[in-house]
Amino acid sequence: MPTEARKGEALAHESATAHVSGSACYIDDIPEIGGTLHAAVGYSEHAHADLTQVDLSAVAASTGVYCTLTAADLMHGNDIGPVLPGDPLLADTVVEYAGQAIFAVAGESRQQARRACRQAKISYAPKPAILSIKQALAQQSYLIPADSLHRIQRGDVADALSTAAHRCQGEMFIGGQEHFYLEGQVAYAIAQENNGMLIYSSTQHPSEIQILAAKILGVPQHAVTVRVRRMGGAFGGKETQAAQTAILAAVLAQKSQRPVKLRLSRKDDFCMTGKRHPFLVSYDVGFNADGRIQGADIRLAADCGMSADLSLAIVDRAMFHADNCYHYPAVSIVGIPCKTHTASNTAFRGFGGPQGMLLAERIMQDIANTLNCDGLAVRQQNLYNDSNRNATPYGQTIEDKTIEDIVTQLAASADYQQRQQDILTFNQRNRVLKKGLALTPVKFGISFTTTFLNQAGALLNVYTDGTVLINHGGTEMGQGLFTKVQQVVATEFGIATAAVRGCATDTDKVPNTSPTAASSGADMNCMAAAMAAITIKHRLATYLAERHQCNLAQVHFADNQIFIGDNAVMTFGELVRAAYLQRISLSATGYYRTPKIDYDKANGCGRPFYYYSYGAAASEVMIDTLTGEHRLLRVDILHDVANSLNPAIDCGQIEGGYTQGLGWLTSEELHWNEAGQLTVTGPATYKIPAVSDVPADFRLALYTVANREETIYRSKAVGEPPLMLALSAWAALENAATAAAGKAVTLPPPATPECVLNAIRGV
Amino acid sequence: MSICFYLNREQQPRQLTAAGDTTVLQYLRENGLVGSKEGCASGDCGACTAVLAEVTSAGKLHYTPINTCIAFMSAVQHKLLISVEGLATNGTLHPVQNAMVDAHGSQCGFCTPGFVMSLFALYKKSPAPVTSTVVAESIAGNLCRCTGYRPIIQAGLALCASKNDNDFYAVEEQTIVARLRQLAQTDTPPTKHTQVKNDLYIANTVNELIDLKQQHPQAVLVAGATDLALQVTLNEHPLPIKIDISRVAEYRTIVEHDDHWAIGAAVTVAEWMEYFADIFPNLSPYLHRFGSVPIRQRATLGGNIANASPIADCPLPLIALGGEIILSTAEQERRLLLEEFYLNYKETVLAADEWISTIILPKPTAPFIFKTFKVSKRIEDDISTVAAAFYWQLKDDKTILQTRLVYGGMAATPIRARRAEQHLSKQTFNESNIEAAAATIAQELTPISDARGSCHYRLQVAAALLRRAYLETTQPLARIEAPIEEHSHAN
Repeated sequence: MPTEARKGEALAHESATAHVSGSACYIDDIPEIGGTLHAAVGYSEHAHADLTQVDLSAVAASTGVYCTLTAADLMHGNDIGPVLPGDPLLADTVVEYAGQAIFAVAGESRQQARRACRQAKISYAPKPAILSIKQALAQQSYLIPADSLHRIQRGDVADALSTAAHRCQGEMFIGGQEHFYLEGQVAYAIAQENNGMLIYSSTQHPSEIQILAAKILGVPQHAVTVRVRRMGGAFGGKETQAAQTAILAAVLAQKSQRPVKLRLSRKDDFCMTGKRHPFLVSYDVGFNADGRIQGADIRLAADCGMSADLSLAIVDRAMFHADNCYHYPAVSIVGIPCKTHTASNTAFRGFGGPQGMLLAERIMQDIANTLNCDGLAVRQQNLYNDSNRNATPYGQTIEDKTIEDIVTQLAASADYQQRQQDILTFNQRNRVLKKGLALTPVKFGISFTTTFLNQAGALLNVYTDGTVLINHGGTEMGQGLFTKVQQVVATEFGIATAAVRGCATDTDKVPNTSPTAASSGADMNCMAAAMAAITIKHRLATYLAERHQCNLAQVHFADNQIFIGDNAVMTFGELVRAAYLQRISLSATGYYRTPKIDYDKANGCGRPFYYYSYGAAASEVMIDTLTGEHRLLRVDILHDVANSLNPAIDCGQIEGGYTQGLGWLTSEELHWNEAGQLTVTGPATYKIPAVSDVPADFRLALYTVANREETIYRSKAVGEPPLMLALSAWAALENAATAAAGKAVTLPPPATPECVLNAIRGV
Repeated sequence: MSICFYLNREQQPRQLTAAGDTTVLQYLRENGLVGSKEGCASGDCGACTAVLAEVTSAGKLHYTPINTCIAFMSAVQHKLLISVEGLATNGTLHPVQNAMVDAHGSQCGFCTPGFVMSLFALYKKSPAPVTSTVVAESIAGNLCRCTGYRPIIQAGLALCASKNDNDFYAVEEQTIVARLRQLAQTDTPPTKHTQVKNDLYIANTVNELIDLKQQHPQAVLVAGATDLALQVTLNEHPLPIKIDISRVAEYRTIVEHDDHWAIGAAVTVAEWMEYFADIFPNLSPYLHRFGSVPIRQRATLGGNIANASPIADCPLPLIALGGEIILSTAEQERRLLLEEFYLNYKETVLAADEWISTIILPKPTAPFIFKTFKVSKRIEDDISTVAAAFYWQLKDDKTILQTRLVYGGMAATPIRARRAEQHLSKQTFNESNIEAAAATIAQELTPISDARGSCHYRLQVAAALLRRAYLETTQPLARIEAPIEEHSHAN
């Protein structure tokens, strides 16, 4: 009987061999066409100012410069806002953040272009700048009118707060995060015949770049092709914000009629592009003596920067995750998207979810401190569980008990209670070093909350040697999407994964695609690819059933063979060749749209998510109370991947996500000067985790109960959820600092050594 | 003159006649070897890592990882440059590459060639097997934003556990050694007739340096270039004529004398660390937090001093130990205390025609206490928020004869906390006296607030380090960066 294979195998990344050999081609590695120009961007030094003069004569006269570009050159439009207008490609009369592009230059070499940029003479008339959320709140500087803010409400919150036995209130600032993809923003644009433009862009959203480039270039969408084989990391930072780099390259290519490459320097990338949103969260929570929450009044204010970008959806997701895994019987949540004069903040793995969930964990910390009891007990007391306590604030029902199960299992496997006792003893015996341990859960909603984005397409070609080429709208940024799709197609056809090849994401193959984001890449594109494979299988099986006069249901594809019942009748390649001769089409598209989802934003209720991914982590830390320096000692994780499509890739996502969250919460600190200029502009000053920040004692296990929803092979999305497992490290640091201070302390993230020392010393 | 070197498996040397400001990374990428990536252009991410092989006195190949993004081409002179393209043979992966694939060590893949090359250097240098601490150290200068590092450590462990080194470079070692020796012998040294457009010179001896400096008085001296190169790669600032002194034999040695060591200015931080590991046990852990393996193997003591950064780590222990430096010109030399070298932010007493040639480190006489500390946001490869080196000369193990308390990150230059020092003069080395001295720090020093830390934090830490120095003399108190085992032993 045919065996089931390929899906669920821990295969290496499809590009692993190319990665380690240095032959994996990124955009800056594409052999340059003769005559290629290199671009650089000049940007604002002021956070908010009128541009009174932009004199580029010295730039144009610099060695090697071919042409310059300003807003005045843009004849067909200048706004590349992805959802709402407000993102000029190049500033025209006003600049709204330090780092906003004012002009671009194309020269014979990258160095010449960059050196030329420094010759610009730009005069500004500075205007008052809003540089903090507090300032924005005070001035009601919002992206949308104050009366149309998104609100989620249930029950009588005022009553719940006033009748609860205990109450905690507070406010916490949550820092942003730079993506620090190792490959910075880069694009290579090559003009084609008939006004066509081919753009190689390191982007998560080729279709959006196609649409925006067509608009700015003044050509129809069919004239623009956007292609990306792989990105050197993206993490949300190339969802909307790859567009500026790509379109500048394209406009310069159109103007110069020469190929143009634009690769931002690390510093320019830091200054020009948006980051994870800083938030100012405030809360008023009433709870009983057993720690159970009765009511919660929550405000989430986000620093969106100078434009909308994706901020409204990000604030929505923060609101959808302000419960984390906890039931709030009476609840009010309001989200405030603040407009400030910084780079427009954007998508970053978790998309507002981390900030919302951090607030929920802040509340858990406060309750545990108030009641002087263990943090895990408080968390377990509040988990969604029975039918009276399974509705989220926005009305979606939690239909499973996965999170309770995960937390219970992890508390046991991580030996949580015993280790808390050991830590108590350690802290009593040690004057300088203190330890802390915390276990936190994760629930993350899977689907784009912008419902129409939940669609995907694929194009599948079968060739006469029995090999398969699969193309889909998803982009590969290292997350292993191409590997998973390859495995799904191989599984459907019952052939070896080596017989399936993924190729560059390309707007001329699959049109009108959604960004690869919201953890949905594998869910949607694997399904679309499977649909295409099923279409072709059906054609092949129909042909074979006719030829062999058998029932269609008897035809199976497995082990590289075609079975009729239990009998292998030919190989896959033989069937393909036979079908070709019978003039059966061997190419098909596949299409998928996520079912069941629907959300009514005006009333703040509905089912925004198809399902939830869960997980939990226990982290143990040690702090030096003299310097505030700290170290992670041990991590235990149990994470829900359901029927994993590829356990090796999923483990990589979990470990990597945890580490990225750890950086956000403990070491990655953005810093601006009083003029609103970013002062951390590279890895020398901005510290993402290095190798020893991740402990040797890292115990990861997968929770593999099948998804209750009909996802691809009942798997679950894994891209974003693990990032929030790192909340446990932050809570553990708070616990250690609390032990050191002898009273409850708060660590507004990032919990840098300075933040920890300030907390201990009561600054 | 020209730069001659071998690249990967090539049997003919490559020759470069106009190097200018070209970095090794630029050279590789412009010559079609695009496996090495630019992630930061500042030597902080390791995506550009390649390996240099050179011949040891024993006639073996010695392998060093290098951040090609901040190395000028003079770094490869007479060496074998191995980039990631030089590992696989006819499509068969090198064991390092196999280990990375097997461990799922790549995700986006952009940092991967750099990790592969750092692990390759480890593989060529380390006896098998190695611990995870050793693997971690070898990749501490490589940033990965995807994996969380565990699989990469795993790859390193697996690689070294099953080490059976018969790769191309092992098999061909003697041939390569012979080629490199021949290259060094036949290549023409710099002459007075060298054309000016070749603005990168290599001095092999002090005399050559003197000649070159006389011909090109405006030339800047460069050794490891780990900081100087950033002028070019980050600030787009073309450098004038450069003279590479990293091969000047006289400046590459540490010589022990009766009462001092004479350390050549071109001695690398790694060499310094290794030489003094047992003499000053505190120094090695301190310097482990300086940069990364490739940086420490390129950066020189002279460079770290001359650079005059307020947060340079090397000058502090030298000043604390009463170190002096010798400044040379073509005609003469002068000797002064290192602490007198610094005038202000990035400003020193060094005259335009002078250079640092030697560092004189006096031998302390027992009993003494010598402590060094570094505090930064991240333990690995970070710039100090505050660094400190403390030295106490004692009598009878308790009376303080002399104190030097030196801080980095607390002023525009490395600075001694004179008031705290005076407080301790002739006092007993005990907790209350140390506390009293620590209390004066905030009155004396006025550090700035910046992205690395506020003035307030720096003052708190500066005082706390003095406290910690004392505590460490009285009880087992592991540093936060110490191996986990040391922490468990402490309890």
